[in-house]
Amino acid sequence: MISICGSNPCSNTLTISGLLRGYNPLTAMTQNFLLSTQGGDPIASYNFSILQFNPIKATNTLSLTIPNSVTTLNSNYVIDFVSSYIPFQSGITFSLSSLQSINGGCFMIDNSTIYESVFTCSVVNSTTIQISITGDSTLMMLDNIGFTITITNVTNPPTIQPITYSFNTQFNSVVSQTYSTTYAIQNPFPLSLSYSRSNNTYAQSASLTLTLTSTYPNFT
Amino acid sequence: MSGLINPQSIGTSSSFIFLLQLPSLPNAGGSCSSCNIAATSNNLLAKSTVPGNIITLSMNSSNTAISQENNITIYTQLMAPIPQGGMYQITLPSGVQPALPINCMNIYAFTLTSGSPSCSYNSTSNSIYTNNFYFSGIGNVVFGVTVINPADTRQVSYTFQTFDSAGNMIGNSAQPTAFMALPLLLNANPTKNITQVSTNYKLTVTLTLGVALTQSDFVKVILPQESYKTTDIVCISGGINVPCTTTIDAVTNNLTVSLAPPCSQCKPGATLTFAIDNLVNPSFINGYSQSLIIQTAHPQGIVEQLATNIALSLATVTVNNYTRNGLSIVGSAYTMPFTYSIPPYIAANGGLLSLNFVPYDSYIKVNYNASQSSYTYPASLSVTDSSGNSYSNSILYDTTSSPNSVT
Repeated sequence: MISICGSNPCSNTLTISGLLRGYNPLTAMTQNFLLSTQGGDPIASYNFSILQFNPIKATNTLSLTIPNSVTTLNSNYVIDFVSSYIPFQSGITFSLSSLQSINGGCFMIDNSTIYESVFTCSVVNSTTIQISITGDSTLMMLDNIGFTITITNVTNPPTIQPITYSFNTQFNSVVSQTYSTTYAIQNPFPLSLSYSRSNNTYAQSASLTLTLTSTYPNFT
Repeated sequence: MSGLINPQSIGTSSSFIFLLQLPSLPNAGGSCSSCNIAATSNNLLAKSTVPGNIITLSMNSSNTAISQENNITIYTQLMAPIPQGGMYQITLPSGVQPALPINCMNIYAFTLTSGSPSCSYNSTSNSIYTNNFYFSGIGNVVFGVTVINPADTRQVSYTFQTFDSAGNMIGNSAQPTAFMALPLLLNANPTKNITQVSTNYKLTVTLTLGVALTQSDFVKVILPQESYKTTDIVCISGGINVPCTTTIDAVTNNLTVSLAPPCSQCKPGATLTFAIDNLVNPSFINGYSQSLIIQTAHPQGIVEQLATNIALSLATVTVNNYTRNGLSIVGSAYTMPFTYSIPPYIAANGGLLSLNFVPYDSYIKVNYNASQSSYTYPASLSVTDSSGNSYSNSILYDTTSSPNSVT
């Protein structure tokens, strides 16, 4: 509510500074101008759509660290992401591919010195975790906060093909930020090879026998 | 000589004399009684010229509407007693008539001499008086009668008197008791052709009379306005302009438009239609600015009245060059320049510009107190014009979600 004219300046061109866009895209946005007397009695108004100024969701990079990056082996997955002055609510749901399997648990921490919240991470099924957030998200607007999700004892995929990992944060039950990355297991599972020949004589025919040995449990 | 009491009614007392008497005979002549030596030659008289006051404590009415039967109950304090045979009198104001037959009621503190309380009416003095009850003390009495209220809202005054059996006045109310009847509800339907603030409009009124009017009476419309164009006001009846007068109340600033009844015989039940053109709607909307009063009136007071409202509508603000500068990503800082039209009323008197946001539209960074690990929402923003002037402002927040968005 801006005091104009009378004992105040009286320009018809104003600029308002210090506003922040909303934290989630909206389905409808209107701006209402209302002019009234100093006592609050209305005189004139105008209501118009400002949907063209609807904020768009942020798209950010997710950092995934798999210390034991060998196919089919178990590793603790460390997922880092940053929410830069953007509050989010309603928790996070993060799913791995169907080629992976969560055998342990999970937890999340943050590095903020002013934002205080409690994160509760639970394993929903062998590929999905869910993180609930308890606390006031207001102070998230003041900090560039790094979050780390750790999922313990995850079976790596049996392939080195790249897999895309992503999840969303929400505000007002609407997706506000998307985090994603593509990560490929760096080393295939080791395969041991041994061989033998039936005849070692020069220029003689011989049978070469190769033996591949794998501890991969489901290799057929 | 002190301790004498004046005659207990207006007028002259019986004569009395002064005597000089000896308490005893001189020269030890012994006692004597009535040993008069001298006496006043003329009879002396004492006069009471000021009646004892009658103070009105209250006067209650059962029906305050004009021309209606009204049981009034008067609570008075008598400062002089009424001797037996005396009477208490209510002098009715001009315009007030007794309801016949005369009926006394709600009698309290009086002494009844016989039968039921009885009162009579004196048409010469337009008064109602008691016949068979009196109050011999000093104090409060209650007395009620039925009257017909005045035919309009003119202010009238009741007075009260007491008399002795000889008709000498004993008491009189030094302060009359004022009464003003209320007008009857007028059956009227006012409409405006335009309701937007600060615009010229034409008011059309159709009303049905409940009480007859003559050509010496008036139909009035009282309008709230803070700006007038009284010289342009035109009254119309039957398709032609008719004379009307406009006055502005110095206290309320209301505009009254008054015209003669637009009918030759204004009988009860007659329907009248008239219009007032070139009126100006108030510049803002509130209960007062939307009100109006329509009256029929005698020269001395209002007869029928309708106090009603006609809703005003807002003008439109013209907004140009509105934009939001800055990144489009959620949570990004932005500035909002715009140009808007300023109504003349605000240009002259000042006003408020409110920008209302839908929930979740915009936010303002909170102020963080590190020592207390707490935060507060800013109370104002930076609002400037192209000349660098700053504007005082305040912010309301939508508290239904956290963080609170600007509302």
